[in-house]
Amino acid sequence: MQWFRFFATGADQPISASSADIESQFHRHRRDVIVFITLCYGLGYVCRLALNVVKKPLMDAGIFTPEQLGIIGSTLLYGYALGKFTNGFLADHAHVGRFFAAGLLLSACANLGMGLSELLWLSALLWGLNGWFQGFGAPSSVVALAHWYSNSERGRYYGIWSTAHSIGEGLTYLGVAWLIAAPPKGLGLDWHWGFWVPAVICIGAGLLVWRFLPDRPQALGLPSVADWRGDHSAVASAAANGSVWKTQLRILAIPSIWILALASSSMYVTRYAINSWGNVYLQEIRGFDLFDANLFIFLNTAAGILGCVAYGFASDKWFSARRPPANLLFGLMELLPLFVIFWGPNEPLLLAAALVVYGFGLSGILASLGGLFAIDIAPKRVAGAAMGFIGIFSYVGAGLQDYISGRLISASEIAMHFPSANGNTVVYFYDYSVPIVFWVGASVVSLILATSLWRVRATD
Amino acid sequence: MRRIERRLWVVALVIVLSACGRQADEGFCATHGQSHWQHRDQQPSLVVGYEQSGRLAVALALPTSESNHSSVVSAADILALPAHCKAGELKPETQGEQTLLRFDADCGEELPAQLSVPLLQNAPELDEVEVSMTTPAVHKHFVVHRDCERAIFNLAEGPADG
Repeated sequence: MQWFRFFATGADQPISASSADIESQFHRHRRDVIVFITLCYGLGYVCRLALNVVKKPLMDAGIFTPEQLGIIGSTLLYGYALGKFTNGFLADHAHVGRFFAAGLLLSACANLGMGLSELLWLSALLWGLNGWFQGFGAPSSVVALAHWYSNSERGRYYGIWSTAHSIGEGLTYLGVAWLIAAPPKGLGLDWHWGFWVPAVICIGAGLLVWRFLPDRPQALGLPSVADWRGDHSAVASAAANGSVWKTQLRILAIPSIWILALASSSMYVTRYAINSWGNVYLQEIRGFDLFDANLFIFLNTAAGILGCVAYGFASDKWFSARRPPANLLFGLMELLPLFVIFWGPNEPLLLAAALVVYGFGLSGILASLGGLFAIDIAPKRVAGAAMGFIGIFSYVGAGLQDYISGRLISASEIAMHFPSANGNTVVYFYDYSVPIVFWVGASVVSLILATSLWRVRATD
Repeated sequence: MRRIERRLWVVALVIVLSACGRQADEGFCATHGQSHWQHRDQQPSLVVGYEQSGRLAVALALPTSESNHSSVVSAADILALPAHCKAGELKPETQGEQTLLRFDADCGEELPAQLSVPLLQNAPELDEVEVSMTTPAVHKHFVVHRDCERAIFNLAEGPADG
């Protein structure tokens, strides 16, 4: 029970500081909040994606088959889906600095364990728990933003914090890949280090968050940020209205939300297929080395930053805030490059360009299916619940994808044995043609579902 | 609070130090991929083409010095195939400093998912074999050494690579 109290947000303190002191404390804490949630959420990402980088070395070493890696990878996504659901509720009641730090430190422990485990059940358990621990970061960051930035400025700071995804993916797909890749492109370290170094990074991030991410302003004896900035919303808080639960349940009766959830789920199949198996595919089938393959994957995630921004701009300016035409445009930008990536010539520049366009289109349509379009369709006061509903669908789809992909890849296995007096070395050969049809097919299904909502208009 | 912070620092330090204590394998198996090119000519190399139709084309190049007292006498000494596959005759030919042993095999529609290369088991004079195998989906190039538990990938082609 004492542990729970330790992680709980403090009680409101009376405001006793002078106005100059309040000014100075707000400036310092607000700076710390944006710097440390962005930096540490990004650093925490390396503990989420490490497995993707070391998949190929694990397969080459015969430690796990693709099917087993699919099982392990899917547990993280299920854990993350659960974390998205539970941790949002918990973060509302938590001292976010301690809550976020706990998530990072526990995630580091899971990664340390992964670096020591060659057992399927143990790795699946650790990685599943890691998914849940990884789910501590986003709600903590969003709660911190809500407490320390007022309505009229939160969007800008939310945008800055959103870059953490790319910082994290960049660190993983370039940094961790550099550790594992063979010289001269990398250090050529063993696959274990692909988990241990992220763990050390996460421990550092956890300690930073612990030290620098503050509790709510009111718990520190400060006024609320809305009072401090004189920036009060004209609309009453949804929580003040007793019918929020009922309105949240109404979401389930809106067919468009179900279609959106399925469309988003299908798009997550492709998104996580590329993130989880893309670098393995590029190494196994296209013949790139580990560093170059991860560099290609990084390009698609980096282009995603622009895709999010461009989607919002294009749908607002070109289509008068109608999302379906923009969904079709960005959906095609996501889908068409897949044909180049999987069936095009083995030309690095063309492949890089295709991955950039794919990442750009994917981020745009995902911003719509899981965010903007969902908010348009759902009653505004329960937009969060709509996004949560779609989010769970999406990550369950992503998790199923990891397992199905691993299974399909494993089904094509050809094992070449080299027995000798000292043992038996085995080299595996896989065919990705069937999983590729599954990945591209998911995008086609998603695009059809999203386009079927052509006539759906935003509600008030 | 301060005590908890201090304990966390100690735990972090122990974790970092214990992780540092387990060094990556810097031995022969970890580095041979970078230096294999230096003695490639004196080592056997195996090329396997595996087609969707169930046909396999196999070629083993042995340095002539090795082939003189080699225990490789039949196709099965190079590539052991499932019983339903029909292996052709082993055709030796000399090419400069190397003896080339070729054969074809046909496994029909039942494509084998398991292949075995008993070279290192049957020919004690061989320590390693360089392998290049192409399936309808993938091409892999690696070295298998009798002292290494796992195959060695990312072979350097010369000094510039390593």
